[in-house]
Amino acid sequence: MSQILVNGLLTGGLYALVAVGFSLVWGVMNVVNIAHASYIMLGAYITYWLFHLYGLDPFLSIPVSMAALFLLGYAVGSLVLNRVVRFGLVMTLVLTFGIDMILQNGALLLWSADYRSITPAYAGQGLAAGGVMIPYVRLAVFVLAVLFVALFSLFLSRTRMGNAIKATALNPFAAELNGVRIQRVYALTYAIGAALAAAAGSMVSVVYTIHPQVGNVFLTRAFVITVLGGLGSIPGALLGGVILGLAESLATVTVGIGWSEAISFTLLVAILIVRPQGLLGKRFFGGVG
Amino acid sequence: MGDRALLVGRGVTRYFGGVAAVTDVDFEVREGEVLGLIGPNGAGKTTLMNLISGLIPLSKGEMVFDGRRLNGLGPWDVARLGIARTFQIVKPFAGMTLRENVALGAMFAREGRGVPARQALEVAAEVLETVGLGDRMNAHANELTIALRKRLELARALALKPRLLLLDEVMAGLNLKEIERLIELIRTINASGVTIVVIEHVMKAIMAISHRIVVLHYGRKIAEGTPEEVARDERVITAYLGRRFGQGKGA
Amino acid sequence: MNGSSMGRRGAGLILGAVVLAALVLPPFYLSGYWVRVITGLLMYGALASAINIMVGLAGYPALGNIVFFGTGAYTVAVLMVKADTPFFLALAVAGVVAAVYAALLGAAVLRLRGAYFSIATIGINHATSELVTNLDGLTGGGRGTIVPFFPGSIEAERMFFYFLMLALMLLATGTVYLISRNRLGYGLRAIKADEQAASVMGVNTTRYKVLAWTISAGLTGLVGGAYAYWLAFLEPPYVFDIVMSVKVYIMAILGGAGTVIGPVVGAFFLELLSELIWGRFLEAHMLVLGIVVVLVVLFVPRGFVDLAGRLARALAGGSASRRAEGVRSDG
Repeated sequence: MSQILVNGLLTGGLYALVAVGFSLVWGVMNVVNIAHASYIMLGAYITYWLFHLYGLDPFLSIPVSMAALFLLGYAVGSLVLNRVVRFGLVMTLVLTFGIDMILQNGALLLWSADYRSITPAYAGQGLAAGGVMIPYVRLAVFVLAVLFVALFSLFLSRTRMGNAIKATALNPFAAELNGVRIQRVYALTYAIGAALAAAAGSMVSVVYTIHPQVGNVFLTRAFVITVLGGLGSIPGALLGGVILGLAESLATVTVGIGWSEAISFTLLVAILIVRPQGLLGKRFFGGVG
Repeated sequence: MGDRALLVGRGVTRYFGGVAAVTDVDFEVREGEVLGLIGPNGAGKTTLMNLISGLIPLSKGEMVFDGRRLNGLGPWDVARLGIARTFQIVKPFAGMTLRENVALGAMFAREGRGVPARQALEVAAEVLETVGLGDRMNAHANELTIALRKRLELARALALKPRLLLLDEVMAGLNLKEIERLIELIRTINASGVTIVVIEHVMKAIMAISHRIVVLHYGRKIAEGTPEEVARDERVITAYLGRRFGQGKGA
Repeated sequence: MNGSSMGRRGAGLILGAVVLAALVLPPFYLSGYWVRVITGLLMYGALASAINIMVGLAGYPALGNIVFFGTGAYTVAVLMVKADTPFFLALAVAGVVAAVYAALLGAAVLRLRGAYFSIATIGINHATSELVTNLDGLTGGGRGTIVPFFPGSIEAERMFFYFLMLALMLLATGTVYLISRNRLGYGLRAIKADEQAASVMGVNTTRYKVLAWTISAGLTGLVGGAYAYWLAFLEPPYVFDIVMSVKVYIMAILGGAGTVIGPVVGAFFLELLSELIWGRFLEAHMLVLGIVVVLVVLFVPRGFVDLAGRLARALAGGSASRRAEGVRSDG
C-alpha cells in the first residue's frame, strides 16, 4: 500500500510540472494549447538525442531543451497565435491542434514511431526503506519538478515580467492602459509555457519510453489537473497532480491498468460539470474570483 | 386602469452567497398601470426584475402572475405566460437582421399565439414599423445607434405580445429628444393595454410616465405610492440625498 | 421584383438539376477508385452537416462529436455480429442509440459553454472509446471486430455504399435546411448570439440545445453505422478518432458554419485536397493536413460562404453605394 502511495506521489510531482505551463497559457491567454503535447515530446527527444549522441546526462540537458522550446514557443506565439487570439478560445484550440499535428507528424517522419528510452548508469539504483522502493531517477524527477513549479511561482510573484503576466491575466485592457504590451506578454507567456513543457518532457524521457505521440498522454493529464486545480492556479496544479497521480496508482492495482484512461476522462467530464471553477475554487494564481 | 393585481410578490427574497440583494419585498403590479421601480444604485431593482423574469430563482417568497405561481419556472415559461423584458445592456442577436431579431419574439409568443417562422417575419415587419424602425428591417443590430438598439430591444419584447412588459433602463444613454420620443412610445404601448414596470434613473421621465412608484433601498421596499406621495416621502429623500436632508420628521 | 424572383427560381431549378445529376451519375461512369473517393466525400459532407447543427446553428463547439460516429459504428457492428441483425435495422438502431446517448449526456454537459464544452465532448469521446476497448467480450476490444461483408459483387457493393452515403448526406443537409427555416433554427441562432436574451424571449434554451445535439448525434450515428458496414473492420481508434473529429469541425468552419451548404462545400474541398495530398505525400499526409488546419484558421476563419459573400459585395459595392446616394438625394 505504501508503495502505491509513494508511486502516486512521485508521478504526481511530474504531472504538476506537466500541467503548470498548460494552465498558465490557458489562464493568461485564454488559449487551450493542444500543442503542449508536442512541446513535451520535443523536450523529451532533445534530451534523448543529447544523451544518445553526446552522452550528456539527461538532467543536464534540461536547460538546453527549455531554451530551445522557449525560442520555438516565442516564434509560434508571436507569429501565429497572436493573430488569432481575438477569434476566441475555440479557434485557438483548433489552431494549436493543427500545430500539434504538424510537430507530431514531423517528429514521426524524422525519428519514426520507434519506442526509445534513456538508460543512464544509475538507472536501476534506488532507495529501499520499510519495504518501499524509490528509484533515484524518479526521486530526482519529483524533486526537480516540484522545484521548477516553485521557481515558476516565484518568477510570477517577484519579477516585473511575472507581474505583467499576472496583470494581463486578470484584465488585459487595464494592463494595456498601464503600459503592458499585451502582444509581447502573450508571446512570452506562450514561450514560458513551452519551456515548462520541455522541462517536463526532458524528465519524461528519463522515466518513460518515448515516441512521437508520448505527449498526448500527458496532455490528457494536464487537462484533468488544470480543471481539477483551477485555471492558472499553481497550488491547484500541485494538488491536482498529486491527486491524479494517487488516483491512477490506486486504479492500476484495483481495476486494472486498462481502465485508468477511462477513469481520468470520466473524472474530467464530471469535474467540469460539477465544479468548473476547480477544487480550490480560485481562478488565476489565487487572484480574483 | 383597473385595481386588479396582475402580478403579486410576497416576501420576495434573493441571496447571493449569503448576501441579501432583495429582502422580503411585497409588491403588486396592477393590470393596466405603469409601475416605476426606483432606488439608488445597488438597491436591488435589476435583481427584482431578474427574479420576475425567471433568470434567477427566488431564495424565499413567492410570485403569482394572473393566478399562476411563477416559482420554479424557467425564463422561457415566464416569457410564454406573457411577461417580456428588455435588458439594461442591450442584447441584440448578432448575426440576425432586425427583422429576424423581432420575428423571434413572434415565434415564441405567449402561449398559443406563437406563429411559424414565415408568418413571424410578417409580424416582425409590423412591430418594427410601430417602434419606428420600419425602414431598417434588413440591417444588423451592430449598425444601429444606441437609441435605435434600445428601440429594437423594445420591439423584440413587444413581438412576444406581452401582458406585462419589464423595461430595465431603456432611457440610459439617450439624449433629451430621444427620451421624449421613447416616453411617447411607452405611453402608446401602455394605452394599447400592456401593463408596464420601468426601472429608470432619469427621474423626470419616471415621474412623468408612472402611475405608481415602488422605492427600493438596500434590497428592501421603503416606500410605495403615487409619484407625488413618493417624492414627499422622508425615507425616500433620506435614501437618495443622505440622512441630513431627511431628518425633518419621520426618520 | 416579381420577374427577377421568377428568374431566380428558374436558375435555382436548373442549378438543382445539375447538382442532382452531378451527384447521381458518377458511380455509373467513374472508375472504382474515384467512386470510393467520392463516397468518402459524401460521408464527410454528411458529418460536417451534422456537426454544423451544433457548431454553426447553436454555437456549441462539439469538438468530440465523433463519439457518436463511433457509437453508431459499434452499434451496427455488435448487432450484426452478435445478433445477426439485418443491416438496415441495425443502422436505424445505431441512429437511435447515438441520439439517446446525446440526449442523456446533453442535460448535464450542455450547461458548459465554449472551450469547457469542447473539452467535455473530447473527454466523453475518449472515455467512450476506452469503454468500448475494455468491453472486449462484446466489442472485440482493442483487437477490433470484423463486420459481416456486403453480400454481392464488388460493383454492387460500390453502388450500394455510394448511394447510401449520398442519401445520408442529403438527409443531414436537408435536416439543416429544415431546421434553419423553422422555429428551432431561429431559437438556436438566438442561443448562439445570447443565451440569456434567448431565454427571456421564450426559447427553452435547455430543451433546444439538447434537441439540437440529439439530432446532430443521431445523424452522426447513422453515418458511423454506414461506415462500419463499408469498412467491414472496426477498431476503437478508427471510429473514435479525435483527428477525424477536428477535421470534420474544420470542414464546417472552412465552408461556413451556420450556412446550409457551406459545411458540405468545406468537406468536399478538404477531403479532396486530403486525397490528393494522400496520394502525393503518403508519409507526410498528416503533417500537411496540420498545415491546412493552421492556414484555415489564419486565413478563412469565417468560411468560404462568408468569403464569397464579401467578395460579391465588394464587386457590387460600387454600384450599391451609388444607388444609396441616389435614394438619399431623392428624399
